[in-house]
Amino acid sequence: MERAEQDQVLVNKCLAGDSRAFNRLIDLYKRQVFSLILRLVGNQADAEDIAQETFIKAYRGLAGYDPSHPLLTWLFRIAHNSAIDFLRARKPEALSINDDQNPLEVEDPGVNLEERMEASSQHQLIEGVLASLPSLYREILVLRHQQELSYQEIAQSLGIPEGTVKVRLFRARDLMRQKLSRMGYG
Amino acid sequence: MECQEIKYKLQELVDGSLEKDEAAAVRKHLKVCHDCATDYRLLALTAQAIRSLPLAGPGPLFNARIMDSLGLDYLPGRIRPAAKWLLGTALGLSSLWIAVLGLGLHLGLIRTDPGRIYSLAKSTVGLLADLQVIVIRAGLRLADLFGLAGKIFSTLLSGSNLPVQAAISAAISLGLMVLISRKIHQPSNI
Repeated sequence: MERAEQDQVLVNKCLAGDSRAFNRLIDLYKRQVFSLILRLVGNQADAEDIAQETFIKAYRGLAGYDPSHPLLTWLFRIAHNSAIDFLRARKPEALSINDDQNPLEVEDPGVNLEERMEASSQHQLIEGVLASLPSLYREILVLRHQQELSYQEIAQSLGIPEGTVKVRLFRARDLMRQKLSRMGYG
Repeated sequence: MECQEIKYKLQELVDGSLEKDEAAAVRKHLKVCHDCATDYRLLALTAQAIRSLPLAGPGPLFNARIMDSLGLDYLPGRIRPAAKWLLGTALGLSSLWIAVLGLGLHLGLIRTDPGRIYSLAKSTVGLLADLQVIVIRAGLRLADLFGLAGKIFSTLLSGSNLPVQAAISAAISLGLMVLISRKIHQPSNI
C-alpha cells in the first residue's frame, strides 16, 4: 500500500474513533515533525511541547484535512504555524531573516577544517553552521534537503508561494556557503 | 556563460532542476572557473550534509501525553510474540516458585518439632541451610506431583495469549495457596 493510501486509511480510522490508528499516525510522523520544530525553536523541551500541540491540533482538525495533499505536508503546516506563534511570543528576533543581523562568523571548529569535513564530525560542523542561520532559513533547508520535499510541498507546508520558496532557499544556501567559505573551507 | 549568471544556476544544478543542456553548459564552466567550482562544491556539500543529518526524536512519553490530552485510550504497540512467550513463561515460573516455596516452608515447619525450630533459630546460618534443603526437597516432590499437571498447563499456556496466560498462572498460584493454607489449618500427620 502506498504512503498516501496508508495515510488515508489511518485518517479514516481516526475519524471513526479508532485511537490506535491515531497512535500509529503519531508513530509514523513524530520524528519528522519534531525534527522540523527543533530546527526552528532550537530547544528540545520547547520543541517537544510544540510537537505535542501539533498532533493535538491535527487530531482536532482531522475532519478538515484535504486528502489531495500529503498528510506530512499538512502536519508540517500545523507544526510551522505553532512554532512561529511560539517564536513570535517568546523570541521575535529569531524570526528575522535579515542577513545583516546574522553575522557570517560561526564558532571556530578548532581543528583543521578539511579533516573535520571528511571525518565523522562533518555532522557536527554542519549542525554548527546550520544553527547559526536564521530560523526560517534552517527550516527551509531542512524541508528541502533532509525531508526531501519538492518546492510545491514546501510551499504548502509553509503557506507561502513557490517563488518565495525558491528565493528563501537560494538565500539560505548562499548564506550557508558564505559561512563555510569564511571558515576556510573551499 | 558569465559567473554572475552561473551563480543562480548552481543552486538549480544542486537541486537537479536544470535542463540537460543547461546543466552541461554549467558543468563546462565549472571546469574552467575555480571560484564557481568552489561555490558549487560548497553548495553541494551543504545539501548532501543536511540530507545525512539524523532525525531527532521526542521523549518516550510523547505519544502517551498527546493521547492523554485528547482523552484517548493509550494503547502502546503490541507486545512481540517472543516477548509475550517470555513474559508468560516468567509469570508461570514465578507463580510455581512462590507455590514451591510456600509448600516447602509448610512441609518443613510442620515436620519439625518446636525444639528443633528453636535451635535452628539460634543459628541463622544453620537455619538458612536447613531452609534451603527443605525448599529443594519440597521442589523435587512437587516436580513429581506436578509433572503431568505441568505438561497440561504448559500446553494450555503455549496455546493462549498473554492475558489468558496471566490468568492461568494466577489461578494455579491461588489454587496452590488455598491447598497449602487448608493443610496448615489441619492437624496434619504428613
